[in-house]
Amino acid sequence: MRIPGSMLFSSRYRLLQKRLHPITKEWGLTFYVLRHSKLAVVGGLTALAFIFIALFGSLLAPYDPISANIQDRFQPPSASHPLGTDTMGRDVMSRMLAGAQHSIKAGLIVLAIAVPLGVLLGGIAGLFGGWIDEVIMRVTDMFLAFPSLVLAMAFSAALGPSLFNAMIALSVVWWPMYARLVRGQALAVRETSYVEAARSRGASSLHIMFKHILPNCLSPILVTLTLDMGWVITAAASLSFLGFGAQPPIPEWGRMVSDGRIYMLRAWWMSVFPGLGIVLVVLGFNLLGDGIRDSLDPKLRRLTEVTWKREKISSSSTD
Amino acid sequence: MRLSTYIVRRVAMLVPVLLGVLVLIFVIAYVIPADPARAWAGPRARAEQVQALEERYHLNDPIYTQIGIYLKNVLLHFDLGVSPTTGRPVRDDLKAFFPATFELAMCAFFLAIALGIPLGVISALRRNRPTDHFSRVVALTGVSTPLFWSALLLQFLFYFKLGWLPAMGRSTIDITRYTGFVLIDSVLNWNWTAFGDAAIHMILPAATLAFYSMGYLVRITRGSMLEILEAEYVITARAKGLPRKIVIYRHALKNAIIPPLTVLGVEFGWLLGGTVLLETIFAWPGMGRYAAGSIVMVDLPAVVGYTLVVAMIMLLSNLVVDILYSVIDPRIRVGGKRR
Amino acid sequence: MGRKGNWLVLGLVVSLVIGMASVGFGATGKLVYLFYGEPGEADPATAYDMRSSTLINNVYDRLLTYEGSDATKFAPMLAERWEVSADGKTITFHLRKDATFHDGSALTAEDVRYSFNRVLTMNQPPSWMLSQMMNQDSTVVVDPYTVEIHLTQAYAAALGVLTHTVASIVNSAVVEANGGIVADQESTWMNQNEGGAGSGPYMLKEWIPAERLTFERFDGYWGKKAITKTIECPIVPEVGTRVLMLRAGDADVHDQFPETNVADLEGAPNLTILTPATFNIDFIALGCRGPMAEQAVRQAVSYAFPYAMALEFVYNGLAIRSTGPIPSGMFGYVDPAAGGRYDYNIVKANQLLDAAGWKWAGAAGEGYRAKDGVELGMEVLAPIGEEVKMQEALLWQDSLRQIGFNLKIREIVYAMMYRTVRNHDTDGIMSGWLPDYADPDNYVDAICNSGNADAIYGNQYNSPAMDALILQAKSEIDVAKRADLYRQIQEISFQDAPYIWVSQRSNVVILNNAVKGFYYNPILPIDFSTLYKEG
Repeated sequence: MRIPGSMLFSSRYRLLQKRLHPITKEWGLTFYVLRHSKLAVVGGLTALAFIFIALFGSLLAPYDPISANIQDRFQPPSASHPLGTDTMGRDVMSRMLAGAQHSIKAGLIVLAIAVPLGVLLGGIAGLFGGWIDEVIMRVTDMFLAFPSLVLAMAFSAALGPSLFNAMIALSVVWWPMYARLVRGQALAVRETSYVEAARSRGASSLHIMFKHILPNCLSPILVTLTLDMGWVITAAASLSFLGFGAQPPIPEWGRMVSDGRIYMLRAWWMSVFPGLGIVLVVLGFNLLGDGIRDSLDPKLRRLTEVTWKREKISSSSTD
Repeated sequence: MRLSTYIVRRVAMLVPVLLGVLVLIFVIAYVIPADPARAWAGPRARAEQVQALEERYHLNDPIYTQIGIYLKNVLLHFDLGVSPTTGRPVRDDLKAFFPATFELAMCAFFLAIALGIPLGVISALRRNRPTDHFSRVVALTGVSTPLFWSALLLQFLFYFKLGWLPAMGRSTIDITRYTGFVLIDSVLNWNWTAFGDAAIHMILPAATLAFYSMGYLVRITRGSMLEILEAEYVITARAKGLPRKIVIYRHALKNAIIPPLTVLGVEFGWLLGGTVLLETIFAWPGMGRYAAGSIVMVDLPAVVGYTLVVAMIMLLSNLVVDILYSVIDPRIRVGGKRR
Repeated sequence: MGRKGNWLVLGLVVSLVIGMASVGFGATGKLVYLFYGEPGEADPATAYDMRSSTLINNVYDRLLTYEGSDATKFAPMLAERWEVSADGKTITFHLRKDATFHDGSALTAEDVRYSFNRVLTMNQPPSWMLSQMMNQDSTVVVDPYTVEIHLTQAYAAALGVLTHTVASIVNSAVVEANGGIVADQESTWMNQNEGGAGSGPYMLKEWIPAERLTFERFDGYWGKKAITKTIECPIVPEVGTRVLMLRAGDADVHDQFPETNVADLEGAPNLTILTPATFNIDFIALGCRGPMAEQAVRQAVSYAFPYAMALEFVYNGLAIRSTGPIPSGMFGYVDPAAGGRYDYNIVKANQLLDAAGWKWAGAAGEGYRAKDGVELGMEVLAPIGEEVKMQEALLWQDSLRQIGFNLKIREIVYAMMYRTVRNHDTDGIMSGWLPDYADPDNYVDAICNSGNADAIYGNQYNSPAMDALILQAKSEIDVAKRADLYRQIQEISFQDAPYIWVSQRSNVVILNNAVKGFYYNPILPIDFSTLYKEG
């Protein structure tokens, strides 16, 4: 599992912050750059396909993904079972189709908990500074220094193994990253002249937070979010692999890899295909995230802006 | 702020953070709905036996007493307690398992550097060309592949199918263990057969870990190289008519390498975290596998000991990075202190 | 890199070739036995798991043991002979005079007394076996080679208990030199070292945690000396790796091989697969609460377990059906023709439920049954990592749907299972029993006695008639009377159905064809001393 937070000690976000400015106003240009990055398009399409499978996979599954049919077990890939069958004789493809929703649910729930929590705490730390900042940052340091997989395992053990509890456990290790990100941004924005001006006009902290700090955090958060979607999916799968996530007979992909592990010699397809599924999906989100990052890179934008404007003018003139 | 003040301040900050880690792990352990003493004593144990264990490990005391006793033992006697599952002092266990993890992480670390930095440089030099796409996809694939799966797959291919490489353990040859680092010990024993044996055992796990963790390095190197290539002095040098090769190798490379170097501490942290999964699959006798096994048994002394050691390594490696960074860019030091 | 790098690569390649060539050792002086996990402890007073008992049994001796592969006949070991008094309360052991510990010192009656009292004082997990029948004053030294054991109460299985690893004799001088005995505490030194404390055919030469153990023959052994000089035991948790090591000839012996993976070894020309029956039984504990409080429901779910399918597919045909708490081949076993058994019968299960008033929500065969607004169902725990139990649970779950019973499966780590079970936070466990000693009391007392059944399996099963029979059978010296008591116990357990008896497992033993001298006793771990490799 990727250690989500420890990178935050690093300069990665310093680098990011240096490059990113509130470019939310020029969405058109952003999409233009994005569309012209082949890798980002491939990534986006993969992610979309995955979301489609997550929504409708259960309907597409040709066999019952849950019910055992043990006489048909260990069938190699064939026309009737394109990805083979598992120990209980269940169709691997059907299970993968039906199981996609669990991965995306994991990703969404973790980020839905971790991002607001991180943004809130980071914003508070950056905005108020002083001892509040010190305390919040020491707490994030603490979570970041913790071996995250072990922390997630311990949390998941404390709550009892289930997919939902694994997600809670992952949220616990994931929020500090966003807290750091937002705090850094808040510190930078706080010093700017327009925030000073707003403050001198008597604007409240809340106003400054929502009007000035959060909009500035939007682009780095967007990039991190897309990249993290992939990482959370991997992390959830890792927990399931270790037995701390989805409970049988739920066809979660990481769990399926783990189930097939001892049968590698006899039925390699049980582990190989679900794992391949994870790789493709996570790669999709990573390519997309990389593309978004590039599209928000000011230097790259400057280069592309000219062509974009030219195309815009020419297209409006043909109207 | 002077560098020495900065370092002192940063080191002093480690103390509350480590204490926090300790409190956190105890709080988690406290709420785990397990009966550790019952699990350790086995199903047929009588109530008094379980009670004796509970008393011995202070399981019935309030949490602050437990933390207090633990701290006292650690600070006064450097005693991390006895693991009820292995029956050995946790200190001995960690001492026995640390070298394996550290050796693996180090090998993977150097492999990741040896592959990641050149890949990033090439990627930047051939920006937006097929080579660039290729190396970026390779790097991102590494990041996107769950460690547990790539480990299984490589094991399957290179051990089960091809039979080229061993799939588990550190060595098969008996040598005197002076340091616990098999690669070093085999040299100290002047036993090259043992060295080769240890080396081939290292290949699969180290390669898996390196492949997984080099993506980030590629990305940073590529970014910093691109930035340098557009820097004025490089453009000036080119304009002066210096050959591209010389500009790249004499000037650009030297400067582009600094940002990737400063993230190596983080990189090492990732590797260390990745070992939990990897050691479980490769039956690598290291700390990660020990920790995973201990959680399953709610082996509190072992889990707490492992957590403290890893947290310490993470904090120290990040400290080294930050100090390095602040030497390069003194603004960070100022930034570290805000009213 | 440059030139230096090339040399490094060359050096690596050369040493690689040498390394690979030397892996295939085949000398008769060495045998490789695979451990599938690390032993817990090397100390007889503390150890309580299968791997540890393999270690201890080969390194330490006991007063007596079993005769070869027969688990019903005792054989002398450190005691040349023994007498049991008529009331069954006193046992006199006459020790052999030529036995020495690995450090050369003589083994005397004083060491026996020291060893037993050490177990009682340390009060570690397996100590209940001794303390259920002995106390600090029980062991009396009559002369240096005669020792009397005065049991606190007559116990029919007393000799059986003394064959267990916990009753191993340790060298008092070595223990005292390395920390001595501390009440209620394990000895960290004895947990990982042997250092002359044992008198067995092998000495524990080296133990590298999580990597391997090495045993060296003790040439001063009093009895038949071991044949192979060195037994090397790598610890290999991954089953796939173990398969490959066995196929490649890198490992010679493996027992307790998982049934689920036997197919991976079939067809290997260099291997022999033996599958002797063990005394290990698998069963499902049913918590007698909620819908399961009704006898009819427990009987119905017992009829709904697909026994034949589980034995064929889950155990790969390597287990036999068990029908009661006492395994086949042990004293006290009751033939199902007399004791009763459940066979897979969905029709009968549905009839039982219909009669008990559990009604289908919709049409018969769809959804789940309910009564008074309570859905028919339960949750069962399956320990993480036990593939066989999980597959059984999944099969059962499928089959229970046909009788409108909603089975939920929860995977759980062992450490958390006990709390969950004791607090009755679940309804059942996919469980089993590994015997400590070959006596039916070891089974029925743990599984069917109301106190233990609730403490270990949390099933709140309570039958005063059963408890009385168990107590009576404990001290019954007359063999025929005792056998009849166990028959009655079996009958009650059939009627009440607090457990679903699934299987009696086999010990899957994998031997390299060159390995000779293997024998198996279902109650003892593997004996290294008779093993050797031909050629």
